[in-house]
Amino acid sequence: MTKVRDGGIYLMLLSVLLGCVPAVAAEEPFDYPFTDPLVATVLGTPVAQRAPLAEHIDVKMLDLTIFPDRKIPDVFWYNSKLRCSLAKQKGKAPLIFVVAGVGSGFNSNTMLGLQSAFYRAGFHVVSLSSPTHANFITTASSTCMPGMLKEDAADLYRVMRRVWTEVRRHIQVSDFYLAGCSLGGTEAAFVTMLDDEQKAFNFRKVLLINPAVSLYTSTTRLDHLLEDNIPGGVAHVGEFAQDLMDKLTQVYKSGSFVKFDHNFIYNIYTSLPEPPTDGNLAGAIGLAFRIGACNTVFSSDVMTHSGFVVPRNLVLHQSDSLEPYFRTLLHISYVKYMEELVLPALQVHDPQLTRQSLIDSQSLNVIDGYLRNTDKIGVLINEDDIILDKDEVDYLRQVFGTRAIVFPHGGHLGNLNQRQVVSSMTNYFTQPSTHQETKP
Amino acid sequence: MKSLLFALTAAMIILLGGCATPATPIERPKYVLSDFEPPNALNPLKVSDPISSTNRDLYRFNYDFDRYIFLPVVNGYEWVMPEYGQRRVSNFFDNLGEFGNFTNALFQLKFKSAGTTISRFAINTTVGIAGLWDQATEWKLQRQDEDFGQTLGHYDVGNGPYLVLPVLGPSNLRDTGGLCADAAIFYFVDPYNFDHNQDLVLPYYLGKAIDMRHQQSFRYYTSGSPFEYELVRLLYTEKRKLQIAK
Repeated sequence: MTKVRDGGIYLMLLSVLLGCVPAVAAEEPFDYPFTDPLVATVLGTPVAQRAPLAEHIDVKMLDLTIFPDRKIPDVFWYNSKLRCSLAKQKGKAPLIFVVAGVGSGFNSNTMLGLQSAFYRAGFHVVSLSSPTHANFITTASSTCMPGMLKEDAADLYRVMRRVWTEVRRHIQVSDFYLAGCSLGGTEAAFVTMLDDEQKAFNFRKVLLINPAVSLYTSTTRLDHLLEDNIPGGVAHVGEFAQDLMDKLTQVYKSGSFVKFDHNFIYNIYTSLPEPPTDGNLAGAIGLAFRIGACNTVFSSDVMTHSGFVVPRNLVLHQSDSLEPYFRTLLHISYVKYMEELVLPALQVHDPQLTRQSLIDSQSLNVIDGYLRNTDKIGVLINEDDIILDKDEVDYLRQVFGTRAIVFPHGGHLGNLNQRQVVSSMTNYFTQPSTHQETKP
Repeated sequence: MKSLLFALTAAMIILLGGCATPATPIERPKYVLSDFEPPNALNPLKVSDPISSTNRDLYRFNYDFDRYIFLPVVNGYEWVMPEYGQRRVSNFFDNLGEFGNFTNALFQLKFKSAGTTISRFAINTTVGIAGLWDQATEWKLQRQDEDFGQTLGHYDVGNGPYLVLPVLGPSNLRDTGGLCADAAIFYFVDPYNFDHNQDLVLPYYLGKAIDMRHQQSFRYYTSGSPFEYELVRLLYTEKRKLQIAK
């Protein structure tokens, strides 16, 4: 779900502002400007409200082999190793693993923002792609069929251990921490439970940032953002995408700005004669999510020879056109993937499994007792998050109690670079826990 | 002997049988495109790409060229040259590139753009000291990017087939023609008098190439999408549409 706003809109202005933004005391009123959660999700945090970035980060790229015997198909030749990164501090420091959201890579803009925030707070930062990311599916997913929380958590845990054997010679670590955003947050809860059993890291504290409670309801909600907002229905997804791009052309043509840079989308937004309709915004978010789902489902289909959109007995090569598969997948929801690709594969081993029991198992509810009783897991949520409804927000508040940090608005991951949100996040790890509820 | 004969016969039968069996037919997957959209459906992903297979090979070639030659050189340049110097060099080449912006603004009869461009060139060459500083942008004279591909587009020449050019990357037939035209005009008009300064030609093109790659942040195969080729093709096509519309 982070893919949604990884357009890199503000990067350029940000670099100009480096170090010019003073730190804000926690008592100040919450000054995140966008109260419409759709706008927040698309535009993120304006420069004036952003936390300063770390000035220089010593980043080491890691290319890891997780399953040495796995043969990578020719069409994924560029994904032969799992890619992740380590931002290392000079001396001894705590290490935090950060897990990306649905479809996102370790180096998405959201993840770079988190890397910077935790690095500034004194952590070694290991950034990991989501188990639903193509590179992870190809190289590090045991089933190559992501979307199952327990299995994905086990895959993540295996990767974390592998990363640790790789980097332990190069850094000194005092303690281990874990954070995940969006789907990565939900997964982080399951990873923590696994770590409580296996104790490879014995995480001191864990933060779920804008997590989904139930994968089914959240992905259904995102699927609907697209399907309900395309005039004529999802069969017209191509026309809808073309229409969005034509609108950009019209605005670009009439506007006075001329440069293609990281401010392009923001400039377009601010020069619109009237604000975009909620339908267009919602549809654009849904489209971004759908493109992410296309990447996930295609990778899974090729790796598992499921014959979902790629013929089971067809071997794809590097120079083959993938356009027909891409266009087909644009019509297929994430939920359909779970129901028609994942569920039948699971039923081979577990004939008792039903659609409903699969849906029920993919939720924080199933580890409810654990989450209420552990004191090491906290949650950071926005009341207006578009992947949650009011009941789910209340549920998270109730389960996590004083370990819940709640902001009144920010949509889905929209306020993650805002100063107060960044300090809440880093303070959660560096200071003793206190209940935080930010008033608008 | 009998058994040998039998073995040979058996081998012949198997071999012939092997030849006679048709290749395994490709199974129909659960979903195909025609389940969802009619062949004539509007879809921006449909970009004319008749030599897709060659283009995809060139796409990979560009990745390898980047990896083993281009990026090591660019990284070396970025390591040696402080960022302050890098900005001066980029400004310098951008300023020399105003020639193409100017000629193409004229070709499209955009006299205001042409005026802006010539003012920018005059200001940056003098106040900006040989173009090392971009004073004109500070004074709100925005750069007017034009090229012959855009000129052709302005006069309603269509994209033509999509092409991936070696080293240069995404293009199409119209824009490739445009690139050649711009290069030819530059060569014949010779605005910077390379004809009498032959030893400047090689450093100019080398420096320009390094600066061009330095300014372009795109890296092949880092989007994380298996459909990166299709997405780049779409974005290139849409970006050119925007530039032509302006």
